[in-house]
Amino acid sequence: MVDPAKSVSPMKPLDPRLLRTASAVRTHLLVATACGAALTGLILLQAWLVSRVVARATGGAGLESTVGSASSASAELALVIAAVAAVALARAGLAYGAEAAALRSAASAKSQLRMRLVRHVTGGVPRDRDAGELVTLATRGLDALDDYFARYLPQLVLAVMVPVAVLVVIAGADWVSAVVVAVTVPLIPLFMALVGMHTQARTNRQWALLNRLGGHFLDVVEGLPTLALFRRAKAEAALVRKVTDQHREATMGTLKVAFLSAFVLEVLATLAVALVAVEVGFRLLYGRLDLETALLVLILAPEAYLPLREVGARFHASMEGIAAAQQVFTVLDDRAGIVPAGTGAAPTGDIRLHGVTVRYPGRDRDALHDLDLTLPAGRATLVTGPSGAGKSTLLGLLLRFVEPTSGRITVNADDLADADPDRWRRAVAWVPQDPHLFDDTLAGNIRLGEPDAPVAAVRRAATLAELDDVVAGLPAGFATRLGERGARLSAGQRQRVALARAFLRAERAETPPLVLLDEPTAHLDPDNAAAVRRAVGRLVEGRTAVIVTHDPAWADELPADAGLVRLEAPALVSGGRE
Amino acid sequence: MLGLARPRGGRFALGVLLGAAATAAGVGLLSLAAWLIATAATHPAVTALSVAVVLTRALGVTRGVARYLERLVTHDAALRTLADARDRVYARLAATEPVRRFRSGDLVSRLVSDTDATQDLLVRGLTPPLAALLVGGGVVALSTALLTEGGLLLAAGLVLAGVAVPLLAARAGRGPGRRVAAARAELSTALVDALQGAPDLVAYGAMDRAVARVEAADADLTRTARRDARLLGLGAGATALLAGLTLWGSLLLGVAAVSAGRLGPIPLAVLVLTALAAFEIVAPLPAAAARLGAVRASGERLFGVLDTPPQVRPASDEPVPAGPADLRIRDLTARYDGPLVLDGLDLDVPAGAHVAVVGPSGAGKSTLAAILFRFQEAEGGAVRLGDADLLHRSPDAVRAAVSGVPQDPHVFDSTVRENLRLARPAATDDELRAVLTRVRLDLDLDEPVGIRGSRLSGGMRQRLALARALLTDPALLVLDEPTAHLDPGTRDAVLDDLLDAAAGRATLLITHDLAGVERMEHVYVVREGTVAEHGTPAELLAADGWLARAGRAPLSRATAGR
Repeated sequence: MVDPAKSVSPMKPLDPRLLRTASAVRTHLLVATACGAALTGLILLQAWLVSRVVARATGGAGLESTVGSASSASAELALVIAAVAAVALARAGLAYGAEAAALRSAASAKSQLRMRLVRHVTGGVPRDRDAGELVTLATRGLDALDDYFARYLPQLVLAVMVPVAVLVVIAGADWVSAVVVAVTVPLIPLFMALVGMHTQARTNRQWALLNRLGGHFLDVVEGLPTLALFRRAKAEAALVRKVTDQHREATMGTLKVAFLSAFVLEVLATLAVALVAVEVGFRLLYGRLDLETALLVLILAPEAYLPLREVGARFHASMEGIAAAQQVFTVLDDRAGIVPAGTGAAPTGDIRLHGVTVRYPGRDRDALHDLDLTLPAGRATLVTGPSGAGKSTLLGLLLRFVEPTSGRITVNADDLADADPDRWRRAVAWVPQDPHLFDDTLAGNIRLGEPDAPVAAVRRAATLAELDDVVAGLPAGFATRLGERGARLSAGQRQRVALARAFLRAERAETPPLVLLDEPTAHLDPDNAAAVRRAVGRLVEGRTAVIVTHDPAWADELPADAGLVRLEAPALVSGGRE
Repeated sequence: MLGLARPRGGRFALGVLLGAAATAAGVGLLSLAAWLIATAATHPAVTALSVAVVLTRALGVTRGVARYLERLVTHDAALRTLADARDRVYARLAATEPVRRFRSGDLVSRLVSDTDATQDLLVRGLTPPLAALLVGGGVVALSTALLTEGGLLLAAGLVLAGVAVPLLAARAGRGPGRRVAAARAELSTALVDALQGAPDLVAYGAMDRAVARVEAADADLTRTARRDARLLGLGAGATALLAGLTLWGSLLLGVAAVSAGRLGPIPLAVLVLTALAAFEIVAPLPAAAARLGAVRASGERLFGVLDTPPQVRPASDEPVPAGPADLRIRDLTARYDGPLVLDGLDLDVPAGAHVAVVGPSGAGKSTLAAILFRFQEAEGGAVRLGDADLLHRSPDAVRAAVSGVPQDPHVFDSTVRENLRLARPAATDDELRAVLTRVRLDLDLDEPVGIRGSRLSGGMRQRLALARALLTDPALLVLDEPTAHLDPGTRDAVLDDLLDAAAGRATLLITHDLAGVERMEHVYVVREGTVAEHGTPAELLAADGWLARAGRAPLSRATAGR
């Protein structure tokens, strides 16, 4: 749920960024305006027809009247009544068409926003983002725009058109009523804004309290096992009651004020209609007005206020959608991580870091400080160190996910920054600490980097990665779909699939590959850890490799010529094999 | 769910009356104004209009005031009912302790939002239809009094627009809802893959393919939604059609009645303008009907939870003697719904000893913890702490003697002090600071810890959870996977400090990796619900068993070599 108090103040009824970003919104606005104009016309027409029928019928001309002179009047009356039916059909058709068109535009506009969002966040280097939040935003968040497009925007168009049109017609019929309407209609948005501003300040003050009290129940229910363990579960029940009561009182305090704007609106709108009715009645009484005009004014007067009331009522419902759209724009405005990169060929050879420092934006400490390091070609290097020493940053540099803040990386004397990142990564086989498996077949997951690899190569990679027993246990072998995030497999099995991925890439790379491993056995139970260890030994053999781990015992698993580097936050402290 | 609202029936009835008054004032205003104008057209004396004039102005004010009061009264009643619902749900959860449900945070948050859905039902789903029924009845009665066929026509129009259209629209929306949900699920999966798997995709040059898959899923969803828009617009069209045709019918019938001499000119104006205004009554009903399905689903889930039986059988409240005691588990069996999860387990924790239970995932280790905490009933066997048979004591009696750190211990959105005092409400600040020192946690007692302890690191949360357990001074301390979510760098430090703090106290460490195992006096390897091997760490590493094979993992040797 979007918290309305936070989202109200900066919100405009029509965000210009929304118009710029989604062409479907512009089309939608045109359609809504056209429908609004047609609907306004029909409202006026219906009022005129109804007042005419009632006035004429009471003037003596009934449908069945066959008296000579009255027959033409009666024919006209029949025609007018038939016209009312026609208007009814037209209004229904328009209501249907407008709603369907609005939902269609909403679908298109959401799609445009969604794909802009997706292209934006997937472009550039991967960044540490809350992916779950982005997924929610791109699906359920944007779905809230349906209300905005289908209910709020068309009503906004009507709220502008109908009062003006009604006022013009009433002014032509009875200027005194026109004055009443002309004075009260603008008062409504004015008062609502005033009340809104006042309640806004109050609601904002109350919001933190409401949020905390409202969240208490979730906190207590989530913590129930813990409460039970400490024999506090039953005692806490009284507190649940107390906090919920506090929440109710605080909420009611806020609502008393929040409902005021609707109150002002209702009172003004209804009172104005009452005033118009009384005023018209008296002018009729003194013969200064005819019945048909009086009825027309009476029927039209509420119509001037109806769209305003509706737009007010729908504003809240559409707020979630606007808030979601604003969140999308915030993400789109954030252009960090999209940096120009080189376009050259991928170099090969010894990799050297020369005084490389990395500091992430917004941090007050270097993640890596003035690091000099050589990774000799064809040999493995074990990088150990405590958390926060910059081990992952080092892998990020070699993956080209992170660029040095200062210093440079060379590969066989070529500057790595000049190479095209995509071409460089084509010879990098990376096994992350927590690999992501995709909702695809096992073979598809192994083929991630090499979609054209033949089946035989996939099988070989699986064997090298100690995956054979896993494949045998799957119902459809390599063709088994692994489910979202590879849910079908255990953590250790996922790690081995990632290793198979790396084997496939390493075996098929056109240039000698660089193998990168991040804590390969963290969180694994001993059986899986042993399997992964065997596979890693095979993968790094004879290749340029970096294994990052907090655990120095890995040294014994690696070829005898492996280098050992220990990182201490934030700089290199010692090197060489012990 | 309505049953929950019954105790607040008076308040809801008042809300319905106020809501009806507000709507009636709106419709009545136009009917009365029609009478006023039509009467004025006959040029009567001014006094003939004076009552109507006063009434008209009064109605103009009534509507706003009644609406405002109605909203306050119904929200208040709904919030009170929500408090009752939370009370009941919580009391039931505390009585049944369906702890296995709590493994999934998703289930818990859905349970809470299902509880909160009661409020929505009452505010939007209950009072508007009842108020509409009242006012609709009144308006139809008025019209029928004026012209029988006119009243019947209006009744038919209102029932169709207020009952049939919303229900049919809600039903017609179900198909599109399902289709869109399916398309959206596909899109979500593609998005999750593209966003959460971004590093893997970029590293392996597969991002373009992932985005193309998102694009295809998005195109499919958009196509489905655009196609279904045709179906969803029908409700709006049908309501407009019914309102228009009812107006037309009233004119037709009214004019015919006038020319037949059965209806005067003034009642005609009232009849027609009432028909014009009456559809305001049914305007809020489509929204109410659209919500019904979701609210019903919430209710079913909620009562599903409320109807679960307690997890453990009632047992004696006789206290378990405090002080050091040996834990002896003999031939313990347990199952959930399927096969045995524990199958004849024997295990000893002598007073003051540190014992580990290790083994692969799914071996039944966590079930053992759940039984010791009395979250789960055993099927057979015996668990004795000293002379007390824990399987025949009440959960609270057992938990006075057995405490510890469960999997994913909850840290409450409060201060450090409040989180600690949970375990011992009477503890002084000095005692609390002392226990924080024991677990090497340097925190101010007044420090807020954030939602789910989000202001603390994973290691700090585990230390806080242990501090809490130590405050209860248990005879047996059970640590269930205390380092499961910690990164390798902090894991060993946390475990070392936990075991130091537990020195001299009977402690059962349950773990799937082997961190800390070398510090234990005795290790049990559990596989498939029973003990596969046990002994001191040195014995087991020397033998050719699971631990020895597993122990070749670099991790455990690193710690063993200390």
